[in-house]
Amino acid sequence: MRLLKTYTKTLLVALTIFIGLQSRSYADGGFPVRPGRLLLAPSVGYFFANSAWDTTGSPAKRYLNNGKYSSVGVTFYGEYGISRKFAAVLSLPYVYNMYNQNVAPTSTTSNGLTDLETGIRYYLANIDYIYYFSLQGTAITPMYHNNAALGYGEEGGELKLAVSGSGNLFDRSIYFNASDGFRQYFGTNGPWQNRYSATFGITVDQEFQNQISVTGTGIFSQSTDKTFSPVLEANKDYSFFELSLNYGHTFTDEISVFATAGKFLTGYNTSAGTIFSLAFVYRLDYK
Amino acid sequence: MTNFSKKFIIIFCLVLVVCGLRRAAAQKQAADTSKKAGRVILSMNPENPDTVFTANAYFTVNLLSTFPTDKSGTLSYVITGAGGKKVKAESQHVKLTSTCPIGYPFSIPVLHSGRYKIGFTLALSGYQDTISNTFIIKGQEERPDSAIIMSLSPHSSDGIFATNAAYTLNVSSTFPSAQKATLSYLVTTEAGKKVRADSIHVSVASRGTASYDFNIPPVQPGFYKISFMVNNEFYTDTLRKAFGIKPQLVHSQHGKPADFEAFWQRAKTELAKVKPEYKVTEIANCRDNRRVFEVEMKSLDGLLIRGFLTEPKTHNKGKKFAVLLGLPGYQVPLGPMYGTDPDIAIFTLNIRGSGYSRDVINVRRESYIVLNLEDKNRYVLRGAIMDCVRAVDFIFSRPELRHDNIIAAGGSLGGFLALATCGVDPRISFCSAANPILCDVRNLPHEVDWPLIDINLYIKTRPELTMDKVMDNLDYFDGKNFASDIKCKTLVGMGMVDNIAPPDHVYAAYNDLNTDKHIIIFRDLAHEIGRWYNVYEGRWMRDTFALF
Repeated sequence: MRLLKTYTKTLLVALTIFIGLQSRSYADGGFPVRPGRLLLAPSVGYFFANSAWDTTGSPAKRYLNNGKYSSVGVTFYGEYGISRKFAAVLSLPYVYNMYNQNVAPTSTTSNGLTDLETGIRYYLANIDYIYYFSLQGTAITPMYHNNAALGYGEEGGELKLAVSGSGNLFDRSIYFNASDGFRQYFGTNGPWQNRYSATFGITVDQEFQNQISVTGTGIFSQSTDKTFSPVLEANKDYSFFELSLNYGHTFTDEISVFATAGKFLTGYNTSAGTIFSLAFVYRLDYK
Repeated sequence: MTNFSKKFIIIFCLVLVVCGLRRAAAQKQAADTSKKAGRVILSMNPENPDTVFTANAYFTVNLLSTFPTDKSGTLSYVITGAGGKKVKAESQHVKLTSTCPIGYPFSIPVLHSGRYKIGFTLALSGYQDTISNTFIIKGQEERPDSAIIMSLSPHSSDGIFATNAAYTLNVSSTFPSAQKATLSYLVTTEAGKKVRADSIHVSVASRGTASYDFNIPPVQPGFYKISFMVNNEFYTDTLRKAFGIKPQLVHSQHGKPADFEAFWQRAKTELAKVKPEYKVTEIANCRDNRRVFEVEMKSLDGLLIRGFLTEPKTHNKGKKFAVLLGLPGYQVPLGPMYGTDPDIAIFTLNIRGSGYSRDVINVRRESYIVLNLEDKNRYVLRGAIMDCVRAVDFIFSRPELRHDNIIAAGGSLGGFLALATCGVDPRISFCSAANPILCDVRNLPHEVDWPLIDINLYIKTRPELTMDKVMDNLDYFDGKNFASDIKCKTLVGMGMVDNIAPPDHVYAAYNDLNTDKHIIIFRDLAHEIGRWYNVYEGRWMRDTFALF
C-alpha cells in the first residue's frame, strides 16, 4: 500500500513537471519582447501515461495493476516588455492529478498550484536582425508545502540562453527557437537540470494566419543523490525527450490559439506519456 | 442726357450685374460640383529613369481617382517623332476604383533610334486629362546566329576587393567549329580614364566551354569599371561590370561650404514662418485594413504640397504608430501606400513640382532638376527639402504617430531627399537612402550623363551662368555634405554599375556619415536595389523602433 502510494506520488511529480514543460512555441524564445507589450497565454494541458522507463532507460513497461496516470494542468503564462532590452516573464501552473488502478485504492488524486516561475529576460544581441539571442534568469518558488505530488518543494534558479530566427523557405515564412537552460534546486540533494527545447515553425498560408511547428523538448536531471530505488519518489535523476507537433492560428493581431500534441520518445526513470494542450494567446500593447 | 437714356443705361447696367452674378454663381456651382466630383491624378513612370531605352520603351501610367464612385473610360497614348509626326497610337479600356491607385503598364512597340514624345490621355465621361514625356530609343545591336557567350564570376560576392580584383570569365561557343579569339579586359576609373588592360589568346572548341581566371593588378582604393571583351574575325562582344577596392577609404577631395549649416538653418527659419495650415481629409479607401488621409499643407514660400497618410485600423485607442516618411524619386508621384503592417503609418510626400504637388511648379521632367539653379536660395530642391521638413512637422502634429520613431526613406532622388532631410532635421530617427543621387556633385561631370546633360543645357540658355557657379550652388545640395550632419542610424543601398548614382559618389557620402550605418551593395545592379535591401531595412527599422 505504501509502496503504491509513493509510486503514485512520484509519477505525479513527473507529470507535474511535464505539464509545466509543455511546449510554448508562441513565446519563450530568443526574440525580444516589444516594450509595453503584454502577452498573456492561459493554457490547458492533458497528460496521461500508463507506462514508464526504468533507471536504465530500457523499453517502457506498463504500470502495475493496469495503472494509469492522468493530469489536467492549467498554466497562466505572461510576458511584459519593460524596455527595449528587458522583459518580465511569469508562469504559474495549477494541476489536478489522478492515478487509477484496478486494485484498492483504485483512485488517488492531488491538486494545487505548483512552482511559480518569475524571470527577467535580457535581449543580448542579434545577427543581421535575423538571429536574436536572449538570456533569461528565472526564480522558482514552490506555491505549496510538503506535497511531493506537486513538486520538489524547493526553491531554485535557472539561467537560460535562447536563440530565435526567422526567414523564408519555399515561399513560406519560417522561424525557429532554441534554448538551453541550467536549473538548480537549492534544497538538500536538489537536482540540477539541463532543460532544452528547439522549435521549427512554418506558415502554411500567405496571410500568415496558420502555422505549424515541431518542437523537441527535454530535461536531463541529475542529483548528488545517486542512489536509485524501486521507489521512484527518491529519484532525482531522470531524463526524457519529447517531440510535439503544434498548430497555431491567428484570429487577429491580438489573438491566437495554439494546439499541441506531444509524445515522450525516450527517457529513463520517467513516465512514457502523451500530452495535449491548448493555449490562448492575447497580445496587448500599452505603448 | 435724356431720361430715356438714363433709364436705358441703368437697366443695361442692372442686366449686366444680374448676368454677372448668375455667371459667377454658375461658375461657383460648377467649381463646387467639380470639387465634389473629384479628379484623377495622372502620373507616368518610365521604366528607365533616364528615359533612354534600347528598343522598346516601357512606361507605367498611374491613375489615382478621387471620384466618389468607380469610373471607366479609355487611356490612350500618341507618340510623335521628329517634326511632330505621329508614329504610334494605342488606347485601352481602364476602370478606376475610388481612391485606389492603379498602374497601367505600356510596352511601346519597337521604334527606330531617335527622340520621341509620348502623350497619355485619360478620357472618362465628362473628364479628360493628359500627361506627356519625352524618351530616346538608342537602338539594339543585331546579334549573329553564332556567338561566344561570356559570363563572369567575380571572386567577391559584392564586388568589393581588398587589394586586387579577380574574376573567372566563362565562355561558351555556339560556333560549329573551333574558334580562336582574344579575351581582354579594360579597367577604367568611373570617369573613363584607362587604368589597367590585358588580353589573352584562346581557342574555344566547337560548341565548347572554357573558363579563364583574371587577376587584375592592384589599383588605388576606389571604384572602377571593368569591361571584358571577346573578339575574333566573326564575333565581338563586351561585358561590363564594376568593382571596388577598399571603398572605406573613398572620400571626396571637395569639402562643404563653411556656411552650409547656416544656409539650411536660414531655410528652416523661413519655413517656420509659414503657417502649415494642415488640411487632413479622410478619403474613401478601397482596402479595409487602413485609414487613408489626403494631407495638404503650406511649405516654404507658401506653396501648397500634398501627401497621403495611411494608418492601420486598430481597436486600441492608445496605439501610436511608427512612421515611414516615403520620399519620391525624380518626378515620381506618390499615392497612398497601404501594406499590411499593423505598426507602421506611412506618409508619402509629393514635393513641390512633383506628383500631386504641381499646383504652382509644373515644369517638364527635364527642367525640374535645374529649376532656378542659378540661385541657391531659389533652387527648387531648397524648397523640396523644406517640404520634407514640413512633412516631419506634420508628423509631429499628429498625436497618434510616434514622434521618436520616424524613418525617412526613398530611392534615387528620394534617397537624396532622405539624406538631406535627416541632415537638416534631427527629429528623424532612421534614414534609408537607396541609390541617392547628387552625392559628391563636383565629381559628377564626366561620370554621369544625367543630370549633367540637363545642367549643361540650362547653362547654355543663361549666358551669365557657368558650371563653376552651378557647382558653387550645388555644394549646398550635395548628399555627402548632408551626410556628415546626420545623427540617426542610416542605411544606404547602392548598385555597383549605377550610372546615375555612381558607387564612388554614394560611398563618398556613406563614408562621411558619422553615425551607426550600413551599406548594402548590389554587385550587378545599376540604378536600383535588390529585395534584400528592403528586407534588411524593415528588420533594422523594427529593431531600432523596438517593434519586435
